[in-house]
Amino acid sequence: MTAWRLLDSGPGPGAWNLALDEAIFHSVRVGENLPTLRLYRWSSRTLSIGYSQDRDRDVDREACRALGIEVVRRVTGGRAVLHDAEVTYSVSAPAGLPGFGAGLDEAYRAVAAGLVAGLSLLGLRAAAPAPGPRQPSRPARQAACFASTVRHEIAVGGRKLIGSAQRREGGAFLQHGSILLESHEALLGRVLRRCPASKRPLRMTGLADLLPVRPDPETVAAAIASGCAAAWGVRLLGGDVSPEEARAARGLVESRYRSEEWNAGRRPLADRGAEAGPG
Amino acid sequence: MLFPADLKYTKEHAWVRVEGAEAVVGITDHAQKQLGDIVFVEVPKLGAALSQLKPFGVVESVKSVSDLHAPLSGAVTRVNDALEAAPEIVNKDPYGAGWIIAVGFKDPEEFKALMSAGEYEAYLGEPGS
Repeated sequence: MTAWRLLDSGPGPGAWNLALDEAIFHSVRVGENLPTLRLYRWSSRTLSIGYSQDRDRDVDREACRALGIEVVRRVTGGRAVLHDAEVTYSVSAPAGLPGFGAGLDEAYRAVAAGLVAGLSLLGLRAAAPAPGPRQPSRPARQAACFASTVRHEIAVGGRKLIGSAQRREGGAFLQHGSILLESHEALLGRVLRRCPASKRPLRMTGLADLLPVRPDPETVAAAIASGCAAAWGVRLLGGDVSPEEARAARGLVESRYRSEEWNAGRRPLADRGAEAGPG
Repeated sequence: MLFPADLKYTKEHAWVRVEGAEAVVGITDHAQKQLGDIVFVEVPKLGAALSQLKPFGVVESVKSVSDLHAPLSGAVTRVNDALEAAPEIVNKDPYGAGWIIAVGFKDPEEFKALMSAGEYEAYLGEPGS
């Protein structure tokens, strides 16, 4: 049975959370650490935007400032996500592990199976992944991730509960996503410009709306870990962030996630390869 | 799925078409199907030096950002500017209008690392490709 590392890293600030995901992804990609499932939360509300999303077009930064919401760009694809009352998962693994397949679609499907198994341990049996590729067409034109449900994302009764995004690099993938404890459509409508939430419901939901009692985040994290271990047929070993990962994450907070250049999207193209060498 | 016989292929699902001293590069039909709707293609500037099999850019689809790997070493001679406004061309016509960059290749020896259409099709049939 394959061994994975389980990290339950609790609440952290926005830039730190994304920096740590990237640092873990790197260490797993180069084989320094086991494939890793990390579960975490947010110590302050954060709006994360997709790798190529147009921040200045899509985000009302004045509203974010007034509401104390940090805006941070991810290395993963997809649209804006407001991280508030949620449990976040991240999976860093080499491509091609048994059960995960080599491609994007298989990885999404495997992760979705773990999430659905975890939700069912919480007593939520109606959660289902959205069907495979190419559904629906071009939802990324929306500013908000939770405005549409695409392949293998988790919805209940047509309302999206878990939104996910992926990065693939050097034979490995990072997938992270938000498991909502509470829906926050009204707030999302205030911080995004091109967001239908300001006009009509987005069709998102949270565990508090779906279960008789709002589960605490620790319970959700434990259930997701158990569900993933069962669905993937792996052994999760409780572990820690390595000193190298922590150091790399601290560096990335400064060089990337708190950098106006990165967050504005004005990164030099050489950032990704050619002139800068392997990225 | 289409695998034009006049192209060469990589395990990272790039294709190469030789046009004189230039190699035109794109991603395969298989790759665009895997990625789904492509929303963004990021490429290096003209003149940037690529190294074979090293990442040179990214392609973002609805749900993933993936590296593009150079099939050959050389300097970028052309980039497909049309993809900036309409990245979905890669989905619609991956071997034609959806080309991504052209490279002035230097070392014909590097072609030995590339696959023929038949070899690529066989590679896709292997588990873990």
